[in-house]
Amino acid sequence: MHPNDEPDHGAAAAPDDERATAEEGAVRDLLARQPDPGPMPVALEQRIGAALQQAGEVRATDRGLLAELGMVAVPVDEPPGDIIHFERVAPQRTSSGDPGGEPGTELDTVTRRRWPLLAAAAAGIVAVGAVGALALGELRSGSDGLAAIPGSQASPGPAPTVSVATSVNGRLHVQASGAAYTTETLASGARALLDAPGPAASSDPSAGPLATTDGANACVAALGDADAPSVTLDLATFDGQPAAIVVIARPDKTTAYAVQRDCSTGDPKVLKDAVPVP
Amino acid sequence: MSITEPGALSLAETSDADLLAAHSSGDPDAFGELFRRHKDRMWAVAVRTCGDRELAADAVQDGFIAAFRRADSFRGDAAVTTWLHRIVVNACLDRLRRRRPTAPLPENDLLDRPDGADAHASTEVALDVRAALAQLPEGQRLALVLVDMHGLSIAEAAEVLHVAEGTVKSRCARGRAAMAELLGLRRGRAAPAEGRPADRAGNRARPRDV
Repeated sequence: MHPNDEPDHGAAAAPDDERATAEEGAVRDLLARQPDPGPMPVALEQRIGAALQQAGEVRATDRGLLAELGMVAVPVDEPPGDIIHFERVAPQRTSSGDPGGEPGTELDTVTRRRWPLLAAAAAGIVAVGAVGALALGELRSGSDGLAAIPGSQASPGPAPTVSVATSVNGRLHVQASGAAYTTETLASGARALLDAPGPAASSDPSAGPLATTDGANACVAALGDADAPSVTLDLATFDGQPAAIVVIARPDKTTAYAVQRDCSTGDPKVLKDAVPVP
Repeated sequence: MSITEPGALSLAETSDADLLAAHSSGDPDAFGELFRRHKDRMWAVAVRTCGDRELAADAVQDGFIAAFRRADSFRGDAAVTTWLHRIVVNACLDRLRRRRPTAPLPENDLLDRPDGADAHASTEVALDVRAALAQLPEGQRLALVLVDMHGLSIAEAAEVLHVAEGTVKSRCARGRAAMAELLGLRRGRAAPAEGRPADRAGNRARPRDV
């Protein structure tokens, strides 16, 4: 021991493992005494309550429609992460008489992958039938905002997979996923948004103009696509700032934009312009 | 969701597992009761896991929505609270990983605070602890949040994190050791070898990048 070193009263005599145990105990005590974050804020509680209520309405609607098809949703065991399986419990036939599957087929499964960006707002159910596409949810724009109207439509031929809340006769879908898009992920995120749109956002002017039908339409017009046949808008963030992701789908191409939340008539407030969506 | 219909009392007396089963069977009020029971605890888990209240708000919403949709997948082999913890923690991790990297913590959260500072002692300690926790590897941080801050058993934490119990124990041990280092709780140590960070004799040890 160096002459200038202070004597190590006691500590040098304690074995290292005892000292480590004492330190560990001190940390445990310190962590256990950390102040509680407090109860869930009331505003957050209300927000989640509203989201759960909306999820319940979608669930009730979709279960009814699936029952008509003779299908049930069968969630995969945890951790599912991003996959929902759906099983047909009885063979279906088209109106033309074509079988929905092999006669006596036990199960007709569909795997639908949920995109990580939309984990919080992924579509609840996908139905596939050999009879054709089935839209389980349909959004129509109304003068006072958005409303989800259940509907269904069957078409003959091979059945592409469609997702709940994909507009069939409606044009505009607005949601508020809060997802973090970036310059690098805008195109892939827009594709994921189209493939698995989340629940429609309640029309809420206090959330900004883009949360209303008129506001969303004004923004799309400002982007020069007032006559776009299909528009999906996601209130989210882009490169770390509040933004709206606007995905405009035409038969020949699909384009995504990132705009500021105050995008409006004559002033699109573009953050990222016209990115092709694969 | 609010329960005003007759039978509300029966929901309040129903076990978590039965509520989840009722929800899976289509009961429109059962999940709301589960939410009311566990919202504060899940909020606390989210805040401590995310280290950011805004992110925690989004994550806990994600978690409850996911739980609502995945209720059918609950097999009853763990407590409903454990299942909820897992979903909320996963939602937090999803949000953390999606978030654009933020600037690193300011160093003066842990370093060079003058002795005898006027700041309220408990607030200072809380800030130090939060800052230190944020510097731990994710696995260690989660283990300490669940076990030491929320009182989960090792077995429950292992279930939540989907790892072996031994893994939780070792993460807790290493995490506590790292916290002791970061918080300057180590006393009576021999003088560090040359080249190692300075000890508390002069300045607090500079946190390692983890």
